[in-house]
Amino acid sequence: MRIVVCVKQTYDPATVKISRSREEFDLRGAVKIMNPADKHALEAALRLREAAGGEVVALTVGDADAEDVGREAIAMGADRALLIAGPELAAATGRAVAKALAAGIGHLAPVDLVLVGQAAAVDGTGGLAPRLAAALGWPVALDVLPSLSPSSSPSPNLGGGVGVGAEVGAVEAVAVVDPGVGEAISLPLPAVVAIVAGAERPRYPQPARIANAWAPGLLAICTASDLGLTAEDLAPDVEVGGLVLPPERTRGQVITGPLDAAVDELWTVLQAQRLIPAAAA
Amino acid sequence: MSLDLSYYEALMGVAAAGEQPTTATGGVWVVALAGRLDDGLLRLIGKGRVLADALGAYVHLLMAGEAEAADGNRAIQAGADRVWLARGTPALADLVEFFRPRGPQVVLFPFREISRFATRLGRTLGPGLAQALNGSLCARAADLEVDPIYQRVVAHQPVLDDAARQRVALLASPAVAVVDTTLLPAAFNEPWRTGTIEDTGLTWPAPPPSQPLPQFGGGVRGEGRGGGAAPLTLANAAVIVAGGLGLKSAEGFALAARLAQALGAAVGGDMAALDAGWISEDQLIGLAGARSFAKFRERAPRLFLALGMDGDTGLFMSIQDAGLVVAVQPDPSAPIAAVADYNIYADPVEFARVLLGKLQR
Repeated sequence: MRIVVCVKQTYDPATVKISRSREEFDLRGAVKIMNPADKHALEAALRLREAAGGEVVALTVGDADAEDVGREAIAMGADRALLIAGPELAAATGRAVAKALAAGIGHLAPVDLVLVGQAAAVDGTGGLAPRLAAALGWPVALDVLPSLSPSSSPSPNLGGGVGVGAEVGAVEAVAVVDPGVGEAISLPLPAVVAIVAGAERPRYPQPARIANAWAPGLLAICTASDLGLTAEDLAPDVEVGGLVLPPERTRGQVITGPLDAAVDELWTVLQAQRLIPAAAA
Repeated sequence: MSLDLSYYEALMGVAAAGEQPTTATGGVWVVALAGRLDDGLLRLIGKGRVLADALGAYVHLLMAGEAEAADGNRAIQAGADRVWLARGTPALADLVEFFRPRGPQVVLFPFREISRFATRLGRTLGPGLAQALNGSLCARAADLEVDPIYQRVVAHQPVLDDAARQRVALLASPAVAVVDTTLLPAAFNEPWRTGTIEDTGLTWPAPPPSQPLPQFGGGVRGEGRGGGAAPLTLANAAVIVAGGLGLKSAEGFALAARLAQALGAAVGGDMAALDAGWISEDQLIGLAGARSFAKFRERAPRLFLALGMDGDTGLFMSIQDAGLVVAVQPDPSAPIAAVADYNIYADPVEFARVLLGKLQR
C-alpha cells in the first residue's frame, strides 16, 4: 500500500514571541521545524509500513525552506518525498493548500492512505484533514491515535467510502473522543486520517539515514502549475490580521468574608471562566 | 442585500402578519447536529444573531437528529429567525446538497457538542463544507465579529495554545467557522422573539453505531489505561490542584486529592509535600523537579489551585503560564499572595471540604 504523509514546516512554538507592540508575532528568533503532530503521523505511517509493507511518501507544500522537512522525513524513514513549492504558494491559505495537496496526491496515485497531523503548532486549527478529504472525496477520521492496523475487510462502520483503486480493504484505529475515552473505528481505504500524539514517540533519524537523505532522486520538487493548479485555485480564502491579547492580569486580589461566602464568590469566578466541569455546574 | 426587519419587528413586539422571512438565499446558518440544544449551541445562535444584525441578514438554524419543536422555540428565543428540522445525521455530500442552492453567507458549526460521540461532527463537516463550496474557513474560532468597514466576518482564532488570538478575515463566501462555544457570551433568552419552524422533510441515515472503549485511557490516577492515550498529568491537565505543608496531614492532602478528582484535575505538590511523602516525584512542581518544570510547558493549566502553599521562586516560575492562579492559605504576608490572581486567607483543609461539598451537591 502507498501511504502519503502530509508534513508541514512550522515555527517552533517555543521560539515564537509576541512583538512589543502586542499586535503581531515576533519571528526574528523563530526556528523552523517539522510540525510535531506531523512527526506522529509519519511515525504511524512507518509503523504501518512495517506491519503491512508498501511505501511511505512525504508530501509538503511551501517555499524552498520546506525542503528541509522533506529531507527530515526521508531521514526518519520515508521512502521518498514530494515538495510542491513556488512563490505563488508562499502565501497560500488553507483552501489553496488543501487543493495543492490533493493535486499532489493525484500526482502520486494510486494512494491508499493519507495521514496528516491533527493540527499545526503555533496557529493550527485542525482544518486540513477534512478539507483534504472533501477535495479528494474520501472518508476522513479525526483525532486518531498513531497505532493503526491494516485490515483486509472493510467494515461498514463509517460508510460512504469511495473505493478508488483501493486494494487493501481498511484500516482499524482508535480515535480519542475525550481524554481517557476512545472509540474503535474502521476506515475503508482510501481515506484521510488525522493523527494525534499517542504513547509512541516519533523515532529519531539514524545518522546514516540523515547523511543519505540528501542522495539524489529521493526528493522531487514540482510547482503548482506542474500539477495543473491555476491562480484561481490558489487565491487566498482568508486574510490574517493582527493579534488580540487577553487583558493584563490583576494579581493579588483577595476574597474576604466567611469561608462559605468566599467559596461562593470563587465559584462564580470559576463558572464565569468555565473552569468548573459541566456536570458540576 | 435586503434589510433584515425581523429584529426591529421583534423589538416592537409585532410579527408582521404574512410577512415571514422570505429570503431564499443568504443568511447566517447555525448547524446543530446532535439533535439537542445545549447551552453552547444557544450561545452560538446568539453569536449568529449578533453577526446577522451587523450583516443585515436572517439567522437560520438547521437541526438534525431527533429535533423537536420545543427545541425550535427555545432556539427562536435565543435569536434564530427560522428553524429547519431534519432527521438523522448528514454526510458531507448531504450537507453540500442542502446548502448549495441556499447560498449561505455564514455557516457556524459548534466545535464540541453535547453528545460525546458527536464531538467530531462539526469539526469534520465544517471544513469539508467550506472546501466543497469553495468558501473560507476558520476551523477553530473563539469569537466572531463583523468588520464594520468591509462587512466581512472576522474570526478570532486561538494561537500559541490560546496565549493570544489572531484575527482571521473570512474573504470567500460562504464563511464557515467552527466555533468553540465554551468561550462565547451567555445565550439570549428573549421570549418576545418570533420565528418560523419548518420541517425540511429530509431524512438522513442514522449515525453509525459508535464503538466506545470505556476501559481505554486513564483517569486522574492513571488507572486501567491500556490504549495509549495520554494520561492526565501535570503536563497536560487543564486544571491542577497543588498542595503544600499547609494541608498539615496526609488526610488533609487526601482531601485535596479528592477535590482534584471532582474537578477533573491533576494533583501536584511542592518539595515539602514530597518530603512528607504525600506525592511522588513526578508530581513535584517547581524548579527542584526540573523534569516537572520542563513537562509543565507541554500545556499550561487553565486553573492552578494552590492549597496551603507559601510559594517560592521555583513554584512561581513553574506556574507563570497558568491561566488563573488561586491560592488558599492563612497568611496574608506569604509570597504567593502577591502572585495569585485570587487569594482566600483560610484553612486550606476547611476550604477543600467546603468546595468539595459544593461540587458534590
